[in-house]
Amino acid sequence: MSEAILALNLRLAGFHRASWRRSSRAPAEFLTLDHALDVVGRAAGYGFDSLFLADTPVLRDDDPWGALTTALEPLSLLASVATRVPEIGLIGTVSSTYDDPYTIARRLATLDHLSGGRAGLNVVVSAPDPRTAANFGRVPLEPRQRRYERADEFLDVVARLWRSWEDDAIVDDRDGGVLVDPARIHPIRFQGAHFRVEGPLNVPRPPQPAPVFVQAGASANGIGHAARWADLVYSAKQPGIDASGFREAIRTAAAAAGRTDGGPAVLSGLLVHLGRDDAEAAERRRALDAANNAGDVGLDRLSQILGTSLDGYDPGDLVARLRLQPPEQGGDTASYAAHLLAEAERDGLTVAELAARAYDGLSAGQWRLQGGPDAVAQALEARLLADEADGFSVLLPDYDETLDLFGTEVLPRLRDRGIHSEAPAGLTLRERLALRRSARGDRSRSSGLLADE
Amino acid sequence: MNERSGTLRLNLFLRAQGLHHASWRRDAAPPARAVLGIDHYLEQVQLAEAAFFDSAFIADSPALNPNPWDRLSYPLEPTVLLAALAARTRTIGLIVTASTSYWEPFVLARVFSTIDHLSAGRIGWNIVTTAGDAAARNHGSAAVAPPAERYARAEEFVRAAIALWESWDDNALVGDRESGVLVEPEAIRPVRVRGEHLQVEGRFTAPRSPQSRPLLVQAGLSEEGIALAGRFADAVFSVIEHGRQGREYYDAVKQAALRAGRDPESVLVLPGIAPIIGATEAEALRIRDGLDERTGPEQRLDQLSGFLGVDVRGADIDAGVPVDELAGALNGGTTSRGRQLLETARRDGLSYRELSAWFQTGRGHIAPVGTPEQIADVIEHAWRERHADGFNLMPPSLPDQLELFVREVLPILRRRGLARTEPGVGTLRERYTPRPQAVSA
Repeated sequence: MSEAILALNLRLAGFHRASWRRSSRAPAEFLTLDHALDVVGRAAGYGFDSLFLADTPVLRDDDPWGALTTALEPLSLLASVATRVPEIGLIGTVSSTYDDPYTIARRLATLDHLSGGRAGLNVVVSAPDPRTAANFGRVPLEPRQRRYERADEFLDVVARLWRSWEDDAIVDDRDGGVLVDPARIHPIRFQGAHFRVEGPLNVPRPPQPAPVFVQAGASANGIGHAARWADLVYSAKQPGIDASGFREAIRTAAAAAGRTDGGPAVLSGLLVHLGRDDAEAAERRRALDAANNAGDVGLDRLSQILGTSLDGYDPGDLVARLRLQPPEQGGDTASYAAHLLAEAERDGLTVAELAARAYDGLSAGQWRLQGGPDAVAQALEARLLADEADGFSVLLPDYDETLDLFGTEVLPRLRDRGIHSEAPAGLTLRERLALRRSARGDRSRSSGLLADE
Repeated sequence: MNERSGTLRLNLFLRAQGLHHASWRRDAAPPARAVLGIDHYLEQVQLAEAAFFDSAFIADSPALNPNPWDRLSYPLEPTVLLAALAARTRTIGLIVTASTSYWEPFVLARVFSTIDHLSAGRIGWNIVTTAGDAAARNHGSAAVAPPAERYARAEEFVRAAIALWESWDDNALVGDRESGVLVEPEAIRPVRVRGEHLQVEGRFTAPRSPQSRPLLVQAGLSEEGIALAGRFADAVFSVIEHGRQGREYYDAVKQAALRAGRDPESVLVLPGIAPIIGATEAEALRIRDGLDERTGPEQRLDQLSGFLGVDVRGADIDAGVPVDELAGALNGGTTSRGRQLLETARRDGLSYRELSAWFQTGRGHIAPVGTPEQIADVIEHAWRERHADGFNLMPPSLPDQLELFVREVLPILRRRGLARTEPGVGTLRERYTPRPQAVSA
């Protein structure tokens, strides 16, 4: 078994919709360098392999609580922490629908140089949302297939531009007056259906041969795209047959695409409500949920998930007494409904409390854990053993306390189990990911080390 | 001399290598690969910050320079470099070039807003339209759009960016942890810019940044460039020679501001200056000659071809520049910089070699060669004669000529009351434009 790749998702005060209300920082501070350095610095210190910044170029004002989630443009934020925080990977999101590949190739190459090879790129095929399109003076008319073709070309252009300078193109021969050798810098002359890019890049070859490419999206288009391009794939599958099936589908598609590197690593989303023990985890979550003014929107959301109207119930009723059933149709929503009902029973939640939980800003389909560090470490190991994932894309409800708990309680337990050792300093992100995938989890050796201490 | 009070604005032109084309060939020059790391830039910026410069500026073009000796002039993308430098500095302003032809306004507005937030209000945008086919071919076009069209798009672009930056009212971010109100949706005003060249309709993603809008800079010498500066710019980085031309340009910018209904004092003119400083005049001349000698005839003709926009590589280096013939070959398709070169050759009756020698040191900017006192005199004169509100310092070689300027010239300027004796305070915009201004977007 290889070691778990751990990526930390970064978003303001955390992923819980009420995290900002319980944060020690005022909301305006989330937009400051101090805040970014604080969270990223701690994540790097604890040994997270990478940061991950999601993005979409539109104001998320369908929910006023979401209005700051796209305030900071990811590559600028990553650049600002790149030379202040060592070691950790820096993965940002761009849109193949709205961004320009030459500009993105340059910006990423620059980030890679400044960070010593830690740049990663999540290229998103933007959904056909009229509001996003209007920000760019467009209407979203392209069919899905065309949007994926465009993404394919986008990645091709970025990858070719990164290779347009040979390693030894910088000569620096002062006596001979030769600064660079033009014969070792090549135009790419890309002529696609969506992009025409002459090149070469005006940035010399970066430390990594290509940015670490990330892809999310479990559709057939998404899997094919990931198989061709991705180094990391995000999966929102719950544990079980779906997850191992997805893992296998990625592996098969990558092999079919001619890849010999084992294909992309699959990172499962992980939403973790953590405490020093199970009781504290439940209490911390209850406190966050209590700060969440979900109100009627939460009730509507819960009704949708359960597939039945909750209008007739008293918000103070205990859910467990109502004998609600999850919808009979399968799929991610139904399994999420079953998950919520089980939680309501376990934690003794009222209708209002469950509504707040159903609308806590944490994406509905993600795999969730709630508990103390032993339970969490064990659950992570089980998913690796079941070959459902090669690592985790970690979404924390808040950074004030949960990040430190994860770093000081969960990560040492992962080390004890031989699934996340301390990485050597000075690796590129690509090297670091390869090391995780090739590392042998040797329990006897790590136990031996413990015994020596 | 005219009476003027106050101090000069000082900007450091932050170039990977020194301005002189041969500066990288000196034994003392840093290894060429150093231009790919943060330390090389940080060293210069921190020196400038400690000397109370108002800002540092990174120029850019989104295409590889065709001249082999110039291919490391802008080896990193400037917004990313700027964000990294902002995180490593405390007070100095940081300005970068970004092209209105090859960015999307919504993306550019987000990038600059983000860095303005993260730098606590220390960034500026040098607005360019980008000449040349090479950049066009990296962005889907076969050839660059004509200047009039580029500037028409630039105007719409800047209006859109300003509208986005100013669309969140100051009170839009409520952030009341007690009541649970994060934003006031009514205070986020929709933006609607419908131009001929671009459309932006929607709501912006970020609260108003510390400067609301970054310091806006323009650097064009053309009529279109000056008009754009008059409407929007807080400062212009100009390429002017000393003397009559300098005053003409200065007045043209101030007139353009007046025509746009603005206070002329709200647009500051900062000509480029590329001084070669020596302990004695003779030493300064030796330094210049040492740099010039490192440039062979072929390279000189290559350089001139690039800046003129016409191929003169087959010419005899010692022949007189055939100005009319070249102007004909250009057929009006040249840049303002190319025209400046031809005008200089005509005025002074220069050979290719002489034109190249004049151009190499300062690339057409004010390029005095002399002692610290002599350099300070040139600066003071340009300031008192209102050719300049400040200077864009472009050291011909690095880091030595920057160090000399800071160590030898600045103390003289301070004694004369022309340079800051303590760091500027507040945002970059507050330093450049101490008074509030009314500008319609």
